[in-house]
This record gives sequence, structure tokens and C-alpha cells, in this order.
Amino acid sequence: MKLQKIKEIQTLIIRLAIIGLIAFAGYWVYQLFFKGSSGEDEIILDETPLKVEQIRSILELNTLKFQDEAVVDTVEYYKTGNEVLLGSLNKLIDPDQFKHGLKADGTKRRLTLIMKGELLYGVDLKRKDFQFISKPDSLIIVIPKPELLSVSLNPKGTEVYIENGDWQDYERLYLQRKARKKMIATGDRLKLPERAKAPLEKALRSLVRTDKKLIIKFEE
Amino acid sequence: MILLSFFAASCGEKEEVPETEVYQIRSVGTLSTTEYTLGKIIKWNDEGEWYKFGDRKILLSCKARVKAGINLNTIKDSDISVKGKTITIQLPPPEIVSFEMDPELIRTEMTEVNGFRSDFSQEDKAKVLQKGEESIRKDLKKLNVLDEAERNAKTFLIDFYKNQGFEQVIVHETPKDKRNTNLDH
Repeated sequence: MKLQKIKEIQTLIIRLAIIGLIAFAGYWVYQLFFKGSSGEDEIILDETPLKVEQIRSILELNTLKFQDEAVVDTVEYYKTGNEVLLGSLNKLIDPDQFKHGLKADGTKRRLTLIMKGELLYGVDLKRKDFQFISKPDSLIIVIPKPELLSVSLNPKGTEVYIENGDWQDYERLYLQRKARKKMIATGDRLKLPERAKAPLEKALRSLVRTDKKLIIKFEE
Repeated sequence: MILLSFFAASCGEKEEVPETEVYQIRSVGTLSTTEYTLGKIIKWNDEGEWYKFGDRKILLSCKARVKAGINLNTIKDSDISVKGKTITIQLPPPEIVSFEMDPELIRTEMTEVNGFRSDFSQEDKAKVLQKGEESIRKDLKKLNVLDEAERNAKTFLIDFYKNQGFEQVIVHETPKDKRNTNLDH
């Protein structure tokens, strides 16, 4: 009787293990053969022309380049037990979301981006020009104060670190705006507009040729 | 079952979001003189491998803003000479100063998914856009961005020195074969 029970348990374990194995193999077969996402190297774009939309003469003295990285994240949690159950089941039947469905941390959706950006500080001379004041013994150049001129957040510097659930473009854009704000705030915290003054002076001194004493002043 | 629970446990690890405080500050001395606004349609027809049933198509539109100019920091003392009211300057080679693909100006125009293929995720789109950026940077070499930047820099320097009281300003350009062709900014 005891032997019979042990045998039955053994059979049950074996059967469960086989079912588990089939489910596991099925998942990987789907991942391998049907999954839509492709590796970067597999992407070959169709040839399309590059259109020049505008050519503009600008005049900017760029004196400080700040390269920053920001992590931006947004999470939504399930509100009820029913939602957890339904949501997890939905994820379990979607091969792309399968691994997120196995989690029991109550996360409904999560999107995390790691963004690399470049901030350029300097002076826009199209808006405010130099002033040359020539005195008998000195040449005074009055220039505007440096400011943030551009923020570059490019696709090459964008990494989708976690994508749990379905996300729309406007939601991704919201995170990118957040990353941009974070970088600008870091630049302000590091007093970069102020620090951009010294290289601006250096660049000007390398250009100016005068026998007089050169004085560079920043506008108030 | 054992395998499944092992798999579940390994997938159930808490996803830690990396906290970063990585930055680099670099002094530069570039004079940007030209800005190009470029538009491109990024088109990918993902037919997949023979064993993937169905195909997917995506069209994304984007804009890139490219600034070009000259690096004033590379001007040496010997590059500028003064004789009375005449100044002669050897202009540094023009270069790309910045490249910006504003996320605000990127749009998914169309997607089409057939068969058993899954829809485009944000990760898929990010990878397609990265390829699009590469393509724009490559095509940039065919445009006259650098010539335009050099021409405008010359105009600026002539005005700049005339404002300082010089009557004649002679600007020599760098031969085209000595230009920096690296556009990875």
C-alpha cells in the first residue's frame, strides 16, 4: 500500500516535470521562431532620401560641452487582486511579456530609459552682439553671458532598459522630456553657464590681435 | 516543474534601476556658423527569417539639426600675422559641432503587423531609430555643410577684425583633404 502511494507520487512528479518541460520548450521555441523583436544587426533600413529642410546662418560661440546620463522611470501598479490575476495571465500568454508575468511584485507596467545627452553652452551672437570699446591704452570687449544653447538627446544615446507592458510613443516622449529636464538641472547645479565664461575668454583671446591691454567683460 | 520554478525564480528577480551620476565637462572653443535642418523617413520592412510567420513594416519620420563651424582652440599664434593694418589668418578646418535628433520631432507614421509577428515595442523602435541616425550621419557627408560653415566663418572673421580697426583681412582656408571627416558628435 505504501509502495503503491510512493509510486503514484513518483508518477505525478514525473508527469508534472514533463508538462513543465513542454511549457518551457514551447516558450523558447516561440521566442526563437515567432518573436518579433530583432537584434540591431538584423535591421537593414530601406533607402530613403535625406531632405534638406532649412539652411540657416548662425553665430554661436560654444565654449562648454557637458555630457550627462539620466535614468528615467515610470511604473504603474495593479490596484486590485483581480487586476493582478488577469494582468499576469495576459502577460503569461504573450511571449514578449512572459517573464514579467511570472513576477509577483504587483507591477502592471514599467518603462525605464537610460538616456545619454550632450548640452552645449556658449553665446548666441545672432541675438546679442559683441561690443568693441577702444580706449587709448586698452581694448574692451563686452560680450553676453554664456547660456545653454542646445540639448542633444539622440537615438544612439537612448537605451530602453526595462519595458514591461505596452507603451505608447507619447509616454516614451514624456520620459525623454523628464531626462532632458534632469540634465538641464544638473548643468545648473554644476553652475555650467558660469563655468563657460573662462573658455569663452580663452577663445576670444586667441583671436584678438592688439598691442593694447585686452579686457573682456560680460554683460550684466 | 522544477525547471519552471527555477525559471520563474530567475525571472522574478527585482529589476533594479541603475542610479547614475555620470558626466563629463569639456571646454571647447567652437564657432558654429551654419545650421542644417534635415528630414528623413525611416523605413523598415521586417520580413524576418524564413521560420518567422508574417512580416512587419514601420515608417518613422524624424528631423535632425546639425551645426557646423570651426574650432577656435586650434588656432595657433603662427596662424595669425599682422602687418600694419592688414591681418592674415589661417582658418582651421570646418567641422560638425553638434548633431541633434529631437525626440519631440520623431513620429511613428505607420506600422503594419501580419501573421504571428508581435507589434513594435518601444525597444524595437529605439533600435530602428538608431539605425536611422547612423544613416543620416552617413548621408551628411554628401551635403555641403562644411563648405557652408567655412564660408560663414570667413565672413564672421572679416567683420570681427574690421571692427577692431583692420583695413584688410586675408583669410586662408584649409585644403579640403585635410578636413576632419569624423561626423560622430
